[in-house]
Amino acid sequence: MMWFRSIFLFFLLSGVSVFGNDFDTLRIVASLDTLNKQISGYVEYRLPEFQDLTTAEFQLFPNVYSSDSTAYLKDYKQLRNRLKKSEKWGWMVIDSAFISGADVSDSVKIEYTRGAINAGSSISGGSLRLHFTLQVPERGDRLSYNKGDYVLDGWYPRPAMLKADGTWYNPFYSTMAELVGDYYNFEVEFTAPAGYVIAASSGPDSTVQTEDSLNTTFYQIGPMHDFALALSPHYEKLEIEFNGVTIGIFLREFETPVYPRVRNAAEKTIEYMGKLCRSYPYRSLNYAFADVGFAGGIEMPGLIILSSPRGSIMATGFLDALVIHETVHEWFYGMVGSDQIETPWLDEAVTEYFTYRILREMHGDDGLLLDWWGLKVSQRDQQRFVSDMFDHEYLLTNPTYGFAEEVDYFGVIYSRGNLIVETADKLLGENGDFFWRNYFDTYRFKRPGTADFLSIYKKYSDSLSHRAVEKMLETPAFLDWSVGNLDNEIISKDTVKSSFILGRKGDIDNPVDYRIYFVSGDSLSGAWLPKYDREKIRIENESPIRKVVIDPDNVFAIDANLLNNSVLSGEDNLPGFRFSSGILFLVESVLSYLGGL
Amino acid sequence: MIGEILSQLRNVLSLKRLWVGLYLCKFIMAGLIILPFAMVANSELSLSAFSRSLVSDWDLSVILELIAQSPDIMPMLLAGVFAGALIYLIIMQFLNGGIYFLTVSGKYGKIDWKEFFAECGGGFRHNLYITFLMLPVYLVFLISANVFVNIISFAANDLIGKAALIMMLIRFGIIFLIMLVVSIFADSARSAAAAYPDNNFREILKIAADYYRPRFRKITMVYLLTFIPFLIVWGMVEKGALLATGYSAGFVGVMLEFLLFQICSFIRTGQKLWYLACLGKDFRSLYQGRFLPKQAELRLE
Repeated sequence: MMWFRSIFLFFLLSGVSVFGNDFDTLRIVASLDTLNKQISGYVEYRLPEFQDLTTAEFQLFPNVYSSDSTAYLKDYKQLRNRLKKSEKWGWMVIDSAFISGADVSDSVKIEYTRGAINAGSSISGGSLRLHFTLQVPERGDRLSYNKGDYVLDGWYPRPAMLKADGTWYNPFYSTMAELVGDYYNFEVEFTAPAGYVIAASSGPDSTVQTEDSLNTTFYQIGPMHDFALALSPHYEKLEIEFNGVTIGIFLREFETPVYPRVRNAAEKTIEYMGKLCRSYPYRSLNYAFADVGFAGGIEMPGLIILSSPRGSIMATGFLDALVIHETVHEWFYGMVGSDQIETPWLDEAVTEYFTYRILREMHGDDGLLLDWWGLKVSQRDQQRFVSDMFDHEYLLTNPTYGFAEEVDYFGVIYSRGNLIVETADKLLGENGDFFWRNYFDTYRFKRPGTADFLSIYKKYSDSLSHRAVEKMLETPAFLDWSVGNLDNEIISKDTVKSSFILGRKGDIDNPVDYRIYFVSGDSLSGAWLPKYDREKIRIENESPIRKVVIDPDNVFAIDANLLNNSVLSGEDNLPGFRFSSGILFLVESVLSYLGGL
Repeated sequence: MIGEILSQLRNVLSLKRLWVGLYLCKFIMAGLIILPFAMVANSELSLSAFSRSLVSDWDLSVILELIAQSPDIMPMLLAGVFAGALIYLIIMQFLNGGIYFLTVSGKYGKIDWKEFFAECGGGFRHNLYITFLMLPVYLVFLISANVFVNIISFAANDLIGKAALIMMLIRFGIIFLIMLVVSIFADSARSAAAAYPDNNFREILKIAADYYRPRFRKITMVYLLTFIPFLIVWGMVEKGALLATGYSAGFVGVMLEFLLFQICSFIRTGQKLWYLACLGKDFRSLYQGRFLPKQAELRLE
């Protein structure tokens, strides 16, 4: 096998990390046994240098699938029942452990997903090697096999994170959280049966066929905080070059009709995020379709899993939105590695907001997802509607485990989060894009928290906006602008005295724009700094006012009611009549089918 | 068969007052159901410029904003539809007595309203029984039809895009056909009740079953041939409404759309009358019941 190792060494030496050698190397050598659905091998990495470091911790994520009583599966009834029925549980064990060559296997303690070694003496900067065996669960989510296909995330013992005080951060996972980790340069040597096509967090550096019809593939990529794989003997790989990135789309034959849409959404997002933050720094970005047990996607650095659209008529832009969302995560989660357990809003809300912006560029309006026979549904509609469904006492800055129900988590973090991030962005005006660039640059390959976000935000905003964003993040802030009581009093042929009342409900003190539209066709803009919750505005003009709109550019996306943001001088019954006319026809049709005539 | 079906159009036209009356009954009932909803919707939308897009598009942003601000509006509408549909169902069982009397007897032309309402009252009990009997039957067949189409679509699980759309339409078509075939039994039973009002319910069902077994294929075809023109009109109405509000997003467009919708609703009533006229003639050709001509009775003696 010497020649084999030599080839690997050659690729190690020739491979270049995206950002030089500022990051430690994490080496994984493993092989997949498709008969027993097991992976065995080892990981090797250098422990952090910290005075008096005598313990090392690591994450054994697969143990979340080890029994029906795990905290993870308790929250995931559908998967729990499936695994209970099939009894194809997943687990990971450490077969042996070595620190700087010394066997410390007897010191390994495993509690659920937490692995720990107490060496008894300083192991600062030592090399840790963990030999492991993984049993892949059947039909799980991010780590699973389904028939002959595999999705492998969290499939190797992952280093826990050393905190500044010398203790380890080794979190428990819930179904809603992505994996958390420090950044490493990965060197991976993965062996699988030759018939498998492999999608990974990186394009392969080389593949060598060994004896027994096995292929060993070498990958070198970094810095990343995770390395994932998806395998299927049925994958067809479609590859394109775009802006210096090789986009690989792995799909089964029946999924080929969706290839142009995935490609288009991926290209648009790579281009957009490249301009906003920085260009995608790695050589490749892979998308793989898989039969995960839900409709959606899983974002992992360099590899995006998309749930198979089988059976879908593809009438909506949902797939576009999904691809865009997961691709934006490559920047906000992949590169800015915010902790999805403690501060899920920092990647989900931010990502959802940029998904909306990119969808607007692609489909116009508010990011139209459906435009069919006069029926229009947009990404914005979905966000506003869902954001209204959750318990409003939840804060956006809550950790993942701070939500009782999934609907609350998605309502707050994704939908309301999107609206809050949009409001924060719009309050910055032209500074918005500079803020995002600076935030990205400052926290690239780091794990920022809410305070870090706010510290950068402060640099680009005035004190009122900064305070408003703090309130929106850290309190269940409410806001409803309104305008009403429009009155035109004709004094003479050339003089009309008009008045209207501007109103505010909630905690935001920022000034807000309003715009007056006159019957003559002219318009006038003003700004209202609300000292009180209601204020009457009087104006004298040659022409009566036709309508008044408060916050005409919808800067405050969190505004609870958009219907009262405008007032007309006279009633317009047409929208109500048309809506009722449509409902009337619908009810008549129902009656026809029920009553026969 | 087409000539036979077309010839019944003339008979339907001779029942134009009944046709208009039945349409108005449906229109008034639907209007009463949606009235509270329409009032709330109008008061929320009438002063807001934000709602204006609803004049040209079925803009979900306005509709969802309305639902968010008036959370009671949808439960109110659904409760109204449920209660209204129940009342309408009972009213229709009353009217079915008269309608089936006309179509099975073949008494077209000027309607004797006194006789019509007398038949409505006389046939009410049997028509109500038929409804009670058919409700669980519809439910069972709906569930069975769903299981059946799910088995079919399981085999076509990997379809995506247009192919999936076609499969969806096929599934829908199969469910529609199954439910149609079941509903034709209810129509046969109502026809039997109109021809044999003095028989007990069991005997009526037996006559209906005897008629239904050999004839349901033909009657299904008749229904489809009368339904397809309505489907075409419906499609044209939807397209016309879209064009009307698209070209004139104002009073003219909205009123035109309203009229088109109501024309469609009116034609739907006519379509069912047309089908019943065809069914009535066919039923009468085999089971005359009380409509047996007197001279034929004498000749038999």
